[in-house]
Amino acid sequence: MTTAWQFYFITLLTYSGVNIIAAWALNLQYGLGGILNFAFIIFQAVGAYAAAVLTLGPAGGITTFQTYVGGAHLPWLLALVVATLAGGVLALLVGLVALRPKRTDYQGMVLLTVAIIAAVVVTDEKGWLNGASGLVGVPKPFNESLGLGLIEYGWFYVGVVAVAVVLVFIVIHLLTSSPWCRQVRAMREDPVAAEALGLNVPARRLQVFVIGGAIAAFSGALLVGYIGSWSPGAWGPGETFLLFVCIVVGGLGNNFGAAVGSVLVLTVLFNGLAYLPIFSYTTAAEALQLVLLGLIVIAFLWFKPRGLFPERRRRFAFPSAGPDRGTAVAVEEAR
Amino acid sequence: MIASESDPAGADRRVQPAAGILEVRDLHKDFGGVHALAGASFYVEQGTITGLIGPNGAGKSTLINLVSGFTPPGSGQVVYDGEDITGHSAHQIARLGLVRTFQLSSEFARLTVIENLLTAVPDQRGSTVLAALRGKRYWRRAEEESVARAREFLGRFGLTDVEDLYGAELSGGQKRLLEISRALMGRPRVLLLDEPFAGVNPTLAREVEDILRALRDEGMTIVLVEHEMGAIDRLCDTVVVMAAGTVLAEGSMAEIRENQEVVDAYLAG
Ligand SMILES: Nc1ncnc2c1ncn2[C@@H]1O[C@H](COP(=O)(O)OP(=O)(O)O)[C@@H](O)[C@H]1O
Ligand SMILES: [Mg+2]
Repeated sequence: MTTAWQFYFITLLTYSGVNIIAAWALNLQYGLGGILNFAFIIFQAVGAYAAAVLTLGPAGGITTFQTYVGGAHLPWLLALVVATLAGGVLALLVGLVALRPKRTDYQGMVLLTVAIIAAVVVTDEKGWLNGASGLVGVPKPFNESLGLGLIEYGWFYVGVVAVAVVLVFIVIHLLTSSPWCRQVRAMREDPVAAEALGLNVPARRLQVFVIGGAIAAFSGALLVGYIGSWSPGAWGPGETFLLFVCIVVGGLGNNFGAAVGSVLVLTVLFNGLAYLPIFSYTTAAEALQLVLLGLIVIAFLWFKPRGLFPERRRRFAFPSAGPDRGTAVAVEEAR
Repeated sequence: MIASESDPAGADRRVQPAAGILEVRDLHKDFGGVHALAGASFYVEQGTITGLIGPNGAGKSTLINLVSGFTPPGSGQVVYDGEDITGHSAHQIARLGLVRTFQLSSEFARLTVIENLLTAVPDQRGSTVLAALRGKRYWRRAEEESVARAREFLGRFGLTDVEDLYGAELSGGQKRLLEISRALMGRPRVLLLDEPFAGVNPTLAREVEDILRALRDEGMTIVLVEHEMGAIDRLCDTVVVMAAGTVLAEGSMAEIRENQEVVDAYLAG
């Protein structure tokens, strides 16, 4: 394989991993929790910015050409943890305000507004995160200690992302197969009835929102480690829309579906074409992609509203005869 | 009504002993200009079935909403088991054992029937984030117990065969049954049912009546809104007649029938 093609696959795989993680987080919030998080991308962004400034070092050193707050030289893993927590904290603050309306569509409108305001503020306040130009020169995780060539390092980072995907999957799987998630789905279906059964719906929504926000930030931190730069152009409200398309196509409420949807929509349709090393990607091609995307959304909403892999029906086994083998735990029906 | 001790405003937060497990004192609620409740008072004794009747717009649903914490009261008090629960949030009230159902079916449409029931188990192991992260091993035993208990209720309400159907896939009558059995999963002490027989066929309704009577005999307190006077007659120990946001009369069905005011206002119409 030529270097260009290797680089192409490294990029695709890294982006895929990041997008799968993000799609799982949004699926938890919207597919399972019913929260219309139209501000999703700002949580990925806060993770990316946090990981960037925490590894770039104090502003004004070698990077006098960019200004930002909170610069530090943290080890990457620590920066990753702090970035993830930052996403959770931001989600808590935003959620306390945006999730106040009882109706989820109102919540969605507030969240969209938050996303737009955040983009404007970060762009205009150049002292915070270097405004529209964004941050560049973010150190590559472990790069100095490894001393690998560009391509070798790329494959190494694919491995890092793969480990991250597995870790997030474990967390997501534990959460979504639990009684906790059953109550989350109940809240999605009918928050008023859930409340009548003794469920603290606002608190539960906030939990879902914070967990999703933290995972989104984690994905952002992984992403910035690969691309090395981050600016408002990377996190417009349209990016959130793309992730919604992923989970609608893949199947709301289904983790496997969310992963497949993000690979089909973002990896194949978007990045797959955008980074292809054999022809130059033009604005016309980009416009065509968007048209295609719109058609896909309409087609799915029309013909397959539950997506390729709909939420699974959970069945409960009957206790078997043996005295110690009673297993009435939900088995997901494969469909 | 007011106890003999002096009552400097706010100084004494103790609640006057309630006459029954549930007491409603002088509840008022306005919606804009509409006086949905205009001083409704009554009490409910433990282990009885109380029927709430009255013409449309009398304020029955509003009363249930206030008692269960879904609508903030204008003024007045709701006392449950000796505790003033006025203004408590709905989920807190439910956790105290005062559980309501809705006039319109409110099944969880994309949860299976048995999942609907399992949702209502209070403090189900594995229903917090940290417990969920501990994995299936941590909560599976408790889950099995809840599944077994849910199946008992499904059997009792004739829903065994539809255990794996989604809530949305049930008939109107089955949805009402699902709602009642779901409410029971939370082990309530008082059950508030808003028109539980609406949309249920008469045969099934009779079976549900039997179940409600059996629950009462086990010590549960039930308050139900119902329009069908036959059912009220068969089921209720006490009947509360509401009109225009107040309680017009209160007593046994026989007493109510003799009350000319009620007959004029409601029964005759
Ligand atoms: N949320 C609301 N907003 C405005 N008016 C309401 C609301 N809920 C009830 N009402 C009014 O309050 C009155 C009592 O209604 P309701 O309690 O539903 O009566 P019932 O259940 O006895 O038929 C009616 O006039 C109704 O229109
Ligand atoms: Mg009503």
